[in-house]
Amino acid sequence: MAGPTFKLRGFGTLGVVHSSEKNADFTHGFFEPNGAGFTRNWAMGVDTKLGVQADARLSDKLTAVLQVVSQHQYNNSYEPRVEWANLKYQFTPDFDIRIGRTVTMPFMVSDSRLVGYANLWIRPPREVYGLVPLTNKDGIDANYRFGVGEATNMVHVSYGEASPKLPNFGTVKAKDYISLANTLEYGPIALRASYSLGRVDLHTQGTDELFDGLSQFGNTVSAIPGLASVGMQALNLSNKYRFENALISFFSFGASYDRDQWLLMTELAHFNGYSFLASSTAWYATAGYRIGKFTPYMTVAQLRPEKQSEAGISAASLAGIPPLMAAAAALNDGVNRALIGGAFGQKSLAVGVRWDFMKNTAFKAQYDYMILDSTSSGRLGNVQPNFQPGGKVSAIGIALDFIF
Amino acid sequence: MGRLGIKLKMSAAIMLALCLIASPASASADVVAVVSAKSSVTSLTLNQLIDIYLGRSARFPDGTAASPCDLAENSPLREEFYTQLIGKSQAQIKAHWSKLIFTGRGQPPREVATEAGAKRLVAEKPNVICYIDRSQVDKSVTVLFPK
Repeated sequence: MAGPTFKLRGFGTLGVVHSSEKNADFTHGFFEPNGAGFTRNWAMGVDTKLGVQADARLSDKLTAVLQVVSQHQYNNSYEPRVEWANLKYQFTPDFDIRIGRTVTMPFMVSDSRLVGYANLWIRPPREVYGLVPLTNKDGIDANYRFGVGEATNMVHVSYGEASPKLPNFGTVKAKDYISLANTLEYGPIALRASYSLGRVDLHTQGTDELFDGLSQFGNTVSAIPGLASVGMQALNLSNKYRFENALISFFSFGASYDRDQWLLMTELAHFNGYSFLASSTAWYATAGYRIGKFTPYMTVAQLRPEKQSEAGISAASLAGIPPLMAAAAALNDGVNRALIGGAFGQKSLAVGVRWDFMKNTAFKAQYDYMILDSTSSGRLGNVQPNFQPGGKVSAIGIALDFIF
Repeated sequence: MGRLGIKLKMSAAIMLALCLIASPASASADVVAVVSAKSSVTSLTLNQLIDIYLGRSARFPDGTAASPCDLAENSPLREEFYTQLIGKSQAQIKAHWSKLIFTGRGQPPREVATEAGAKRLVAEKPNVICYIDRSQVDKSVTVLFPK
């Protein structure tokens, strides 16, 4: 190949969503501050996005990629962000190493979760894909491919860190983020397993205030003669739930079958949480059947959290000092609210159709019926005080996916 | 003997009619995957061909590098190659490559404008695999699939 070559390509989705729940928003995930339902009747931000990618081939073995994506994000803007920016060195046709900002690979379609055109659904099932909302990290990854008889096996190993921003001044920082993934492809069948772990700091305004409150209360009460042990309780709670350097791990299994008319896909995932972010298990199964340019599909999905509760500070031992007792009760209530609030559960049924009506463009319509867990808001965001858990929510979305 | 002869003739005619009804496309064109006659590779299984064309494998079974080529997007032979041999429509192929392209995991096969161009490229470069109409096969190329 003579001289460097350069290619500019892109992908995008133009979509709108309507949700029946008026006291919370249907969003694309934790990074979207508002969506359809409470904030607006029809929301464009849930699925709409635009990505532009530049690929440069610098030599036979060295390539560079830069992908910039504009999507409704934490600060309520569509400011473009750098999604990938990496250098790849292809040691052999079957082995490469990439350095820079690369994809995180917890799921089967992690690498194309933003590229609507590449997928059957309007959006990947949120029960499963919401478990690890990070889409990229800064670091290094290696991919090695080898044949196993007639099958091809791909091993992916990566190390890096990420610090995306959350709405309402929240922050999340993942460090020493290690991922392993193995994909075996044989004809129309693909089998995949992945494991990730990392150290995570997670701050939200509400929980930071709560933990600061616990520390303050603990320090105040500890200084009162005879109440040192109650003060300690509060300090211990603050330490126990403060989300710093927490070891988080995740594993998933996936399988897909894609031949002729049928497209079948399923994934099972488990998230080992920490503090108020509950450990959760989720799965989905999708079936699509191609009829010419139309592919009707159906997905069932479930997300089940391990619910937690906390006895908290022994408020009774503060009976003699009513203001402290009330403060202890309020803090206990706050801790339990945080634990309930971070245990997301729901199941859903989605039916939709993809219509490949035109070159490089697909039209999709999808109806989601969600049954929310009795104590949580499920995958809904921007939850309002009047919200009642345990409801049933309908959402309808239409989207135009394109590549160029 | 005479009766058997008539029966055979009739069944041959029925078979021919059935073939014409069942596969009108194969009557108009018959697409085959080829490499240079100089290549060490002499055959592929369907799965191996699919892996090379979907970017899952960059090698022939003997370990030598494999570089697939495509005809132009509006070429009927390209349509036929993908629907009949690879088992995917053009839209499915587009969706498949958009998965690989937008993560830097791969690039689609290089494109050649005409069948003659494809044949020339194959003849020149032993690692290039392409598809042509069976009627175009000559000594410069080896048919890998279908045999």
